[in-house]
Amino acid sequence: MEPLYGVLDLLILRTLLFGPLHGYAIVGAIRDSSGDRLTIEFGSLYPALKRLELKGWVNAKWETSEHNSRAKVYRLTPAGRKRLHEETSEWAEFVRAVAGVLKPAAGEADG
Amino acid sequence: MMLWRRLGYLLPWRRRAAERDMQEELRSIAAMAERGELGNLTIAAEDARAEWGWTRLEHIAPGARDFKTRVQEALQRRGGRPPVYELIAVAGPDHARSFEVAVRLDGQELGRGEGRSKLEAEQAAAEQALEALGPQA
Repeated sequence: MEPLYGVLDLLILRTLLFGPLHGYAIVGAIRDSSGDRLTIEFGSLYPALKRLELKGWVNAKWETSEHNSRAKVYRLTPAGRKRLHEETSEWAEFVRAVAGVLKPAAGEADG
Repeated sequence: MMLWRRLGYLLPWRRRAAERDMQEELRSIAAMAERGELGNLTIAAEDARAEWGWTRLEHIAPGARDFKTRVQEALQRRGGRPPVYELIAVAGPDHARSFEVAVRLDGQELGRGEGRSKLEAEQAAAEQALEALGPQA
């Protein structure tokens, strides 16, 4: 299990589960849902979107907003939904494993 | 499936269409964001190209992206003088420089390109020049 590699992919897939979004909105959605704790650099997000698109986990389509501006909107595909499910389980397992390591050993003083 | 998608980008028109689409997308996103908020978009684009495997394609099929050589050859066939590459601008901090280069023939601009190095910008400019020179190039 590779710990941090792929976390960004997981965050993007999860964000798109709630509906399609364009690249700029994905950054904002991750920031908002993490309570401003996670700020994804656009320079990391954009190549990740292209990678997910190449893998067939998201697809992208140009759409026109109500303000008449065009934006490329990303959507989760059925394969992406399946991948999200797998990655979510892997992540939970990883968190449990790290929590086990961090757990204070018997006799270890607090602080 | 992923390999087929990647191989599709070996086709020059597919690659050019994807490149144009990406530039349009980055422009549309830059229009939504505040100035400087997104960081260096040239680097974001270059990293996206790396995801498509274009950087690796250079190793598999050398020459597939060597647009400078192709421009040179096309102009030689026409018996003309060699093109001149001119550095137009350098922007960004030391660790994230972006270069803009124009390629000219007898003072007339044939193309312009951006990249993370001077050579990369020259290659991008040469690719545009190839389009300008037409299909026989």
